[in-house]
Amino acid sequence: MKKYRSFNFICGGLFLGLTALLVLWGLFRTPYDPTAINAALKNHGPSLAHPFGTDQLGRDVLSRVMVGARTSFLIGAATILIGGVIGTVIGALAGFFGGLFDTIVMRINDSLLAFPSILLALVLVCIFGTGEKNVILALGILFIPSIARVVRSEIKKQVPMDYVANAKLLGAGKMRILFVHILPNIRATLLVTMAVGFNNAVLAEAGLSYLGLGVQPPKASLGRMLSEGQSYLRLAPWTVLFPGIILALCVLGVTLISDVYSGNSADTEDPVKARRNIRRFLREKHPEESARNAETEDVSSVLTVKDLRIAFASETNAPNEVVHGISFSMKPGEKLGIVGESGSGKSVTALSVMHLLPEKGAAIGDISVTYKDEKGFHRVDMSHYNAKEMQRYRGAEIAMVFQEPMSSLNPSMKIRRQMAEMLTHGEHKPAKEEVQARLTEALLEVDLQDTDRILSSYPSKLSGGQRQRIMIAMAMLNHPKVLICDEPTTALDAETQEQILALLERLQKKYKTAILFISHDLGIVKRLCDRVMVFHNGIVVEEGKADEIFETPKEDYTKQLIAASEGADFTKKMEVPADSEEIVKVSHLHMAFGRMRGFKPLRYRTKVLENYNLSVKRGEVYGIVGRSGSGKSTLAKCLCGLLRPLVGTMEIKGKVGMVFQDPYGSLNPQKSVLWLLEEPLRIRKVPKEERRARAKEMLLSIGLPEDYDERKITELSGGQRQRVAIGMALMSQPEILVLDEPVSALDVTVQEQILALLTELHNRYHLTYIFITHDRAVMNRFATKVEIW
Amino acid sequence: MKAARKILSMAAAVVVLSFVTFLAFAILPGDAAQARLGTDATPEQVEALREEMGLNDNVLVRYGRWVKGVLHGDLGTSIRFRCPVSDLFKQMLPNTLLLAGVAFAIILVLSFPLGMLYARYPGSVGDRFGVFVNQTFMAIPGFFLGIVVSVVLGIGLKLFIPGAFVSYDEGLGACLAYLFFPALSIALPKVAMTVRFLRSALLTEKQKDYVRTARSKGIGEWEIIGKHLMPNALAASVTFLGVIVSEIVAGSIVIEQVFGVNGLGRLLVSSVANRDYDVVQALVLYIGIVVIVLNGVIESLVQKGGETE
Repeated sequence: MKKYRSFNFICGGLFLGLTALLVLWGLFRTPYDPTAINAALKNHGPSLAHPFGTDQLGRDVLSRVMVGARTSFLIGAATILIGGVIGTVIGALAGFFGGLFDTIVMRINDSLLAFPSILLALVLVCIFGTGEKNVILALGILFIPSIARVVRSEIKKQVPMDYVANAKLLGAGKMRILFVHILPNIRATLLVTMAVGFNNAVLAEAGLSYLGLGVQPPKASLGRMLSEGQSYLRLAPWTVLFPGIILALCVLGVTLISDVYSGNSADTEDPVKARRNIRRFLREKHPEESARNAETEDVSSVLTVKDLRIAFASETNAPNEVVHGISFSMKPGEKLGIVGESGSGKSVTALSVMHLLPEKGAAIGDISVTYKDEKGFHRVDMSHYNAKEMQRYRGAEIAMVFQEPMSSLNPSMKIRRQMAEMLTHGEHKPAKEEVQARLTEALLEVDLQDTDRILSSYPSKLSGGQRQRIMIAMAMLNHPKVLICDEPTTALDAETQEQILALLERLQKKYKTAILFISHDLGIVKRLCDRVMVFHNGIVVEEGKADEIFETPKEDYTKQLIAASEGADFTKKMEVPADSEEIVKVSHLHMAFGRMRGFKPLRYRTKVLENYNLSVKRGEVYGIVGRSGSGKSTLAKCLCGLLRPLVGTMEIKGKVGMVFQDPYGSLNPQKSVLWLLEEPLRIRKVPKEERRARAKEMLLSIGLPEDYDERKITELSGGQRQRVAIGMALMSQPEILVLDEPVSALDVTVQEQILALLTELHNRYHLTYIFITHDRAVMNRFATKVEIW
Repeated sequence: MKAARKILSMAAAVVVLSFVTFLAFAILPGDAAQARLGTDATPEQVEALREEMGLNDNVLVRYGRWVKGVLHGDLGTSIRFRCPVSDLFKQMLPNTLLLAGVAFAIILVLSFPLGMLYARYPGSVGDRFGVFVNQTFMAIPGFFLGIVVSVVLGIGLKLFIPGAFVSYDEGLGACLAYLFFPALSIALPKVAMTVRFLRSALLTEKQKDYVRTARSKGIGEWEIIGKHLMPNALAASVTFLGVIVSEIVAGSIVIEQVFGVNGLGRLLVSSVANRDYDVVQALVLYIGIVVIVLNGVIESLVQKGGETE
C-alpha cells in the first residue's frame, strides 16, 4: 500500500501522466497543424496563443511536440515489443534448458552487449537505411540481447529452487514448469526490464533522429526537433527546451515508477528518523516507565538492564514491539544464559545492549555498565549514548561474539588488520610491534599455534572453528568487563562446539569476564551457565539458577521447552510391519558433479557419493545421519529421480515423493494452499471436482484449518508451510517418502508437531520413510533404523 | 599460461569481429561503387567500377585483401573526403581520446565521494534529494544535456564559445579547456549511473554480518565505509567501470556532434549518413578492438582481485 504513496511513485506518475496527456490530446486534435509553415510567426517566444512558442519556420512547437512525442513513444513501444518478446523467449529457453544452446547464445549475447549500443544502432541503420521502420527494426534487434540476459539470469536463479524440483517431482512437464511455475515469479523483474528497455529505446531513437539518421523530415520526433532547433539556440531556445523537457519527463517518470517496483529506489525510510519514531512510539505506549527516573546506583552489578523494550518498524502498521520490558543484571564474572526459541527476542536483547540493532529496530530502557579499576568506580550509562558515543565502549568495556563465523569476518581483509582494529581505534594508538605482540599472544591464548600464517591469511583460508576462535580472541583483546556471545557454537560441528565452550570457560575464569550467553540449545546453557533466563515472546518467563530451572521448572513453557529438547520417542508409535519385502535397493551408486568449461565435455570435479549401497524394507523409517556437505541431499535427489546417478543401479518398487528442507523455498510463493495441493492432480488431468474434494480432504489430514484453502503460501508460518509441503507430496499417493531435513528449519516446539504428524501419516497411509538429517537426536527418536555417515 | 590463453581468446574475438564487420558491409545492396558514382550513373559505369574495385570477387578473397591492407596500415579510402581513412584517423583520434580521458577523470573524481556520501546517510533528506537528482541526470539524453550546457555555460555564462572547437594540434591547453564542457556533458549521466551503482553496492555490503562485527569493535561509520565496505564494493565496480568506458565511447559519438568536436564520433555519424563504407568499417573495427581489449584487461583485473580473497 505504502508503495503507491511514496514520493517517487507520485512524482513518476505525475511526469508520465503529463506526457501521456500531451500525446493523447494530440491524437484527437492539435492546436495548430504541426506542419503548417507560417513565415510571419518565425521564432516567436512562448505566448498564450503558442504556449511553447514557434520554430524557425513559424510552426507551433506545442503541436509539433504532441505529434513528435507520439512518434517517439510509438517507436519505443514497437521496439520493446520486438526485442521484449524475442529476448524473453531466447532468454527463457537458454536459462531453463542450459547446455550448449545456452553457452552459444550467451557468448553471442555477451559480445553484443560489450559494444556501445549506439554504435551497433549506427551500423544497423547504415545497413538498413534511415526512416521510422528501419529504426524500429534496428533498435528491436539491439534490445534482444539485454532482455535475454536479464530473463536468463532470473530463470537461472529460479531453476535450482526447491519449488521447481518439487514441481518436477510431481510430474509437471518442462513447459508447464517454465510457464506456470517459474514465469509468474519473475513477472515483476520482467516488467521492470521492459520499462528500462522502453526508456533506452526512446533515448536511442532520439539520439539517432538527432544525428539525422532516424525519423526523416517533415515528420517530427523529439530527437528530430532537438536537432532542428539546435542551430537556432541563441534565437529561439524554446524550440529545443520543450521537446527536451518532455523527453526527459517521460524517461524520468518511467524510471521512478519502475524503481519503486524493483525496490531500487531510495524511498527507504531514514533509519535515524525511523528509530526516533519507534522510540517515541514505545515511550507513548508505556508512559509510566519513561517517567520513572534512573534507579539507585547498583555498584555490585557489572551490567544492568532495566525495562528494556524493543520494537521494529513494520511496513503497514504501528511499530511491532518484540521485547516487552525486560530487566536483569549481571554480577562481575557471572555466566548468564538466555534460552528461547527463535523470535523470542533473545538475540535482539543482546544486540540492543551494544546498540547494534538492525536498521529498522530501536530500543528504550536503561542499560548501564559499572566497573572498577585502579581509579575507582565507573558507570557507563549506555542507554543515553548515541551510536557515535557508543564507539568508545564497544570493544573496550563490552565485546561480542556472533553466531556466524563464516560471514562475521570481512572476506577481503587480512586477519591481522581486522584484529588490530580492535586496538588501534580511539585515542590511544599502540606501536606496530606492540600490536603484533598482543595479537600473537591473543591467538596463542585461544589455542591457535600458527600465528604468523593466520594473521596474514584472509578469512576464507580458515575453517569455521578457527574463525570462531579468532572472533573470541578479538573480542577478548581489550579484556572487556562483559562478553556477549550470541549462539557462538550453533554453526559449528559437535567436536568444535565442545572445544569452543571449554575455551570460553577458561578465558572467563582467567579474566573474570561476565558472559551473557545466548543459545537455543538448552544442553549447552545448562553446562556453561550459572544462571538462566527463559525467553518467550519477548518476556522472561522464568529466571533462576541453572540447576533449579532445568531440574524443577515452574512454568509450563519452560517444561515444554525442556520436553521438546529431550524429545518424545516416536519410534514406539510407528507401526512397522514385521518381515516385509525390500522396497528400495541401491547398489554401487556413484555421484559426482562437474562443470561445463566452454565447449569441452563435463569434467567431474567433486565426487559426492562413492560405491554407495542402500536397502530399505517396506514400512520402515530409514534414517540417514550425516554432516552437511556429505552428499545426503544428493542421494535424496537420486532416489526420487531428480538426479541421474553416474554409475550404479537403483531398484525402487513404488512411487517416490519428497519433502524438502526449507518450506520457504519448496513452495511456489505465488500460489494459494489449495492451488498447490491440487497441482499434482492437475498435472495428471484429474477432473476439477474430484481434485478439489481430495485436496480439501488432505488439508484436514495435514492438520490445517478448513478455511486455509485460499490463503497465499506467504501468509503461512514455517510449520504450516511444511504441512502443505507434506500434503503436496502425499497428493500423488506415493508409497515411499524421502524426507530431506524436513524439520531442520523449524523451531523445536514446531518440530515436535511436524514429527507427530509424520508419524500419524506413516501409520495411516502405510508409508515407507527415508529420513535424512544432520540432527542425531531427532533421528534417534524418529527412525526405526539408522545409518550414520 | 593463463595470460596466453586470454590473449588468444581476445585475438579470436578480434578476428571474428573483423569478419562480421566486413561481411555486414559486403552484403549491402547499395555498394561502394554505386555510392561513389551516385544514382545518376548508368549500370554499365557501375559495373565497370565494380570490376575495377574488385567488388565482383569472392567475399573471402575480398576479406583477405582487406585484412592484408589493414595489417599494412591501409584502412581503405574515404569516398567523401577522397583521402586514406588512416589520415582521417590520425587527425581525429587524439581529440576523441582527450575527450574520453577528461570525461573519465570527471567521473572518477565526482562519483566515488558522492557514492560514499549517499551510502553513509541512506534514506536521509539529502540522500533522497541526491537520488532524485541522480535519476534526473540519467533520464536526460546526453545530447540534450550537451545543448543545455551550451546554452547555460556557453551562451549564458560565456565560459566557452559553443562550436569554436580548437583541435589538439592547434593548442593543447585551449583544446582541453574547450573539451571540458563536452566531457562534462558526457560525464554527468555516467556519474549518476556510477553513484547509483556504488550506493547500492555499498548498501548491500552494509547489510552483511562483518559490518556488525566491525561496529562491535567500536569503529566509526566513515572508517567502516572507507576501510571495510569500499574494498568489497570495488571488486564489483571494476566490471561496472568497463561498462562506463564503453558508455563514454557511445556518449562521445553524439556529444561530438553537439559541440562540433572534430573527432571520430562525428566522423562516424557523417560517414553513416553519407554511406562512406570504408570509414564506417574501419571505425567499427577500431572501436570493437578497443572494447575487446578493455574488457579483457578488466576481466583479468577482476580475476586477480578474486584470487586474493
